[in-house]
Amino acid sequence: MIRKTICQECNTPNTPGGKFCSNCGARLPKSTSIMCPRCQTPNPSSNFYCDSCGSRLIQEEAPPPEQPAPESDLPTSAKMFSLPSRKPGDTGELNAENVMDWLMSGQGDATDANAKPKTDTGKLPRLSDLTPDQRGKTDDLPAWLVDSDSQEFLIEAPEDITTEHFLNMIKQIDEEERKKLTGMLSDPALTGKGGKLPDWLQEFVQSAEETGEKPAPKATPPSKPQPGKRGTSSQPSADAEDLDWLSELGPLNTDMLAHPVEQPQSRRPQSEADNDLPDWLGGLEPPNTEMLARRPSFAADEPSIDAILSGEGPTEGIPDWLAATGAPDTDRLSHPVTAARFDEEETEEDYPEWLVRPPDTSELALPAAPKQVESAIAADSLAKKSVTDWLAGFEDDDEEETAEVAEVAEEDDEFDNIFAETAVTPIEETKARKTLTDWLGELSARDAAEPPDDETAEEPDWLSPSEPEIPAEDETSLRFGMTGPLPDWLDELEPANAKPASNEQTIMAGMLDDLLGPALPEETFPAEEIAEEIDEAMVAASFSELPPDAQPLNVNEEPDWLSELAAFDPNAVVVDESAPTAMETTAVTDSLFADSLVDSTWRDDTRRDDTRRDDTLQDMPDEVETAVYPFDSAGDEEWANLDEILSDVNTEKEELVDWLDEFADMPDAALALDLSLAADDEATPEKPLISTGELPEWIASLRPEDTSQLDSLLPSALPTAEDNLYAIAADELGDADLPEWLSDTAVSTPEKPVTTLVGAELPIWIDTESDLGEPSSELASILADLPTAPPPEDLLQKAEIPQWIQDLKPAELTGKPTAAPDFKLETTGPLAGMPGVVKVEPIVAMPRAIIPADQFTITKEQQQQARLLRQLVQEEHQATAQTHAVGTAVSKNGLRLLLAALLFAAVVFALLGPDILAGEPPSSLSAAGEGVNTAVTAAAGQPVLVAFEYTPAMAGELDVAARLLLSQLQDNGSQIITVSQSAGGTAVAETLTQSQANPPIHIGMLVGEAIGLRQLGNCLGSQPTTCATLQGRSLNADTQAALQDLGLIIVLTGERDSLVNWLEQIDPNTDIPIIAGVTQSLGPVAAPYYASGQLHGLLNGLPDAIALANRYGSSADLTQAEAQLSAQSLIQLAAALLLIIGALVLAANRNKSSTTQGQ
Amino acid sequence: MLKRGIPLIIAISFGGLTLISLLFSITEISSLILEWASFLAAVALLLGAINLLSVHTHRLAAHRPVGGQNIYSAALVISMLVVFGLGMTDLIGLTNNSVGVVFNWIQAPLEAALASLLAFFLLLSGIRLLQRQRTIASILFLATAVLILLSNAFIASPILPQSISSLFQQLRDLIQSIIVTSGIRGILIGVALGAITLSIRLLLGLERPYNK
Repeated sequence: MIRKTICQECNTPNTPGGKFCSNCGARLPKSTSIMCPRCQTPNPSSNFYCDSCGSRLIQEEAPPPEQPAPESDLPTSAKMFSLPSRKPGDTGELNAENVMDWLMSGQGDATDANAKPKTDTGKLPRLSDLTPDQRGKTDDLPAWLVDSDSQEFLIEAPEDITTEHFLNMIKQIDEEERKKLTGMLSDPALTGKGGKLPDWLQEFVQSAEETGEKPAPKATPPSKPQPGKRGTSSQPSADAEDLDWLSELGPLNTDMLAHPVEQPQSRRPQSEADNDLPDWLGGLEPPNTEMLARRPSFAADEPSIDAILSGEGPTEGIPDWLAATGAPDTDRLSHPVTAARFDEEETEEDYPEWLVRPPDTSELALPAAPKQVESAIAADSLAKKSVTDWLAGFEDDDEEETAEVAEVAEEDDEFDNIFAETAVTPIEETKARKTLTDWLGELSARDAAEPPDDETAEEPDWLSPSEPEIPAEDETSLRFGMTGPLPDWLDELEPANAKPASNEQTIMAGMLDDLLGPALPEETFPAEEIAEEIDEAMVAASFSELPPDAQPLNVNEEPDWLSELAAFDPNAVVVDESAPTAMETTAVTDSLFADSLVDSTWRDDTRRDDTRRDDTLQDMPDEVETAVYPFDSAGDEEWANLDEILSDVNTEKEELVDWLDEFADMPDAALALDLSLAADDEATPEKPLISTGELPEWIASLRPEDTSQLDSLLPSALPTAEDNLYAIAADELGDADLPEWLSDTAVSTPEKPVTTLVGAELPIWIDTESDLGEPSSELASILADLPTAPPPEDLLQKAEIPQWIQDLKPAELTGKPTAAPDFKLETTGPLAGMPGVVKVEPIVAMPRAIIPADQFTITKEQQQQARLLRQLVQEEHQATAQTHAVGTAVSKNGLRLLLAALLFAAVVFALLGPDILAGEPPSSLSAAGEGVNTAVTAAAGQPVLVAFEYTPAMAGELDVAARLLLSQLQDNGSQIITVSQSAGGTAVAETLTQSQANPPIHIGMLVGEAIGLRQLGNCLGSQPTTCATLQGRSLNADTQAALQDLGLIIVLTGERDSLVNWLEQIDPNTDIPIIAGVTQSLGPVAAPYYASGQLHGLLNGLPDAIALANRYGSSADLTQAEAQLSAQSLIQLAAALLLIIGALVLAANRNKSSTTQGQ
Repeated sequence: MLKRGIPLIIAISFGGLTLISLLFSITEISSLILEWASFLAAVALLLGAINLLSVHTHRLAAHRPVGGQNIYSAALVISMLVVFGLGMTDLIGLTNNSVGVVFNWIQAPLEAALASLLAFFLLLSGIRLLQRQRTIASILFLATAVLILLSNAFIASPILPQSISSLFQQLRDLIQSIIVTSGIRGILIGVALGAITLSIRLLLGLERPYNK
């Protein structure tokens, strides 16, 4: 599924890659793209395969081994985001082995984590691959992450890890997760008895439930426990002996000290802006600068502690000793960074008076504090009486005995409500106190069991490289999960425990000296006097007030600080050796702080090594950096306020009592969060814990030179919501798809002695991200020193955007002035008002070029042809017309019939009628006719070859000549040999020769015309070779002899070709004369051959034949021949006449038609 | 290539060979080639007769209504088969000169009747010539025809006086001896030139009538 880009304005999902919302047009958050390594096509970051070529966009091979990051100007934190680095659902480098145990198990038991085989989760399945049932499976999730009602995940595992994801996650946390967490706080299943919320949260929530309303957004107390303020609670504590004012002072929330009652109202404007934040998280929001700014109002309404301590405010209800302390010397307690920040700006007025001014040593009931605590263990009344008022106001919620504080609380209902909400039922309060007190016992037990670390013996606890392992036998501490570094002010008590029991008295005495007297060595600090005034006897008396049957200090039952204080009394140690030693108490204290201060790993790291801190910062992305260090950001103002307070106290350190001095140093020490504190203390047992004239040397030595770092560590001194959230159950997040930076953080703290993290502890990454509002000043300074981190999108490899896409970029992004379209509105016509109308008129009006057509040239020949065609058509038409005209008189067929009838009549008349043309027969012959007679006569006695080359169609004309010649040949005694080129001639020859007395020789038909004649010619005459065969036919001897003696060739033909073939094929090869008898029509053709000598005689038709017979006489009958000649002459005459008549008629018709047309 | 080359080679080679044999009077070569040519001509005649019979036989066998050209085809096929049969009978002696009888009684009168119509067609054409094209040529043509007809009609006729008959005799001889002979000789010379040209073209392969 394509991941949509949600519009921040209207929450409309938009297509990835878009720049503007498709709904509202708002600019969408920038998204990254992956450039395909193959086709260079940009793809959405959610793609794993290129849309264009299908290539894989992300390499499958395992990431290369870690190599030192190349030098770059960019911060390493930005380099971490090499997007995208893994597939959706693929945990990538999130190896289960590298995940912190506390993240894996959620229990935080280092011992268990070490003992339990680490689960090899392997490659987690993709979330998208899980079935809905599997998705709904919440076995591996903590209960607080699972909403049993909605079955929805509070945390949606991302499909891929991208910059957008983190940005969205942070935003979603701001908006959604806080709401969910807020709702979760109201869930009795979580906040009730046995719930998994921290005690202070449980108290807070339960108190809210008791009041019947949800905690007001701004009226609720801050997430940090407010033990000091609990003393102002209107509800009396039913179990006053469990009150541990020192333990409550440990995680003192200075915010509450300076928090004005009117804060909700004064913060309303800002709260409106933070409506999306949970109520309880909203309480973390107010910066201390505002509180400082509102301080006057606070002072105006009621005397602030500062005012009280400084004596400027009303002194009623203020302990005298506290009022007498005056402003403490802040130089001694000033936080380095805070001091550096506020040396010039801040004044003593900005700090609580009680810290600025040391209490009056005369009235300072510091010794009474232990006594009061002791009495609290014994009985409430005793504790109430022994405790000073101001301390009672902090540590006790007995309103009756702390009238001064109660008055203050009564003046402001909201202020009281804060503590009223935090008030819990006695049972729960007892449990809460147990939780608070147990850590002391845990720390004691742990410290007792943990040997000192030589390497870190001389190091301050905050520089301790490794945190001591909590013994497995510390079941109590494991059960409650309260581990943590011991505040310095409590840590100082620890060396006593490291010593043998025999030295404890001396050590404790020294501790008391350090605690009460010589904390401020040189300066004329009132506290010194106060310390001197502290009577050890008073302390001893206080401890002596313990009931004889007092149980050994049980971390589960007694306030830890009591056990710690019990160590002050050597007698107590002597009386009950089984009681936990101060060392144990210190260990428990450490455990408490360790638990309450969440993950100390990073803090340890940062305290140990600035470079590591910087590296850690650099290794994280900018947007996550603040999440990793929530205290630096969210609680910066608060911590700054505390720093200011402490710095004031530090400056007036000389005036403070030792224990207050240590208390002033408490944040520094508490921030150390180093569980090796005990070991460190043990390494220096011989040194006085607290010297009378100066700070303990070991503390001084432990103080970091660059104390500026403590600024960021201050927040860790207080168990805040962040702390509890940070102690997230590792098991609950074991399968989560954690970002790399979080994984790295987890890896760095595998041995964190956070043992028994309560499952209800909120993960720090959730809470911390909720406090991303403003970074701390210290963090801001650090970040300011860092090079400016470019935006994450700039760190990504610049995608190569095609030029055509660049061209599509809006002008407002490119900055290039866009050429205004040169469109003019149409002013006239139907298109008026429309831009960009193409002007048609100029185009239409443009004159067109005249293209001359090709000239057709008509030649004279074409003109003549055309004229001829026209003439033919016209003449044909005219002829047809004339024909029709003639036809009118004589029909066409009638003319034909007339002509036929005339011809037929002429023939019949000539044959049957009288011989009208009768006269003398023709006797004159031409020379050609004379040649025939000459040739026949010359060939007498010799064989004569007679070629009958005519058909019966010509027989009427040529038969006369053929019979005449055949009779002469017969008369001359010549052998007649017949031959023909055609079959018809052969038949004519046979027919005419039937009457011959000497049978002729019939050669037959010669095939091939000219070829046959050629072959025959080779056999004729005096050729050297005889022809036995002719064209395959065998010739007999007579034939061969006749052919050899052949004297004349007579060709009777009516066709030209036959005559030509004989003349061309026979004549050249022989000297045999050739005479021809032809028709009158062929006479003109044969005449030339006679003229040329090729023909020796020629008979031209019937007239020459009759003339020849008449001249030279013949035996043939010429009667029929003469009758034929008369009929022929008549027909010819008729034909001539018809032609003449016809011509005349036509001419007459033409003249008539022309005359008609002329008329 | 083969379709055009082989006949061309054969034509050129045998033409040249015949030319050489005629020029140098090598009768053996010319006689041999003439025998091959006459044999091929005889075979071609036979093939022609068979082809003619086959074509008209297929035409008769076609499913067409009897009539039109089918009748002519039937007459042709029947005539061929009857004459062939009579010739075979004459050959084996069953009949005597049966082929001559058929020729004299059928073919000779038909051809003579057809030739007699020539005079009628010439006369009718002459008359229509004057109707269609009364040009000088046509008039000259008709005048010549009329003159020849009249001269022939009055050659031996005593009707006309001898002087007139002699005049027509001289005019006819003038026309035939001068005009017609000159014209016929010109035609024959042209035919001779055409024959020479065609022979050269055949020998050079430029004219390929065998590929048509």
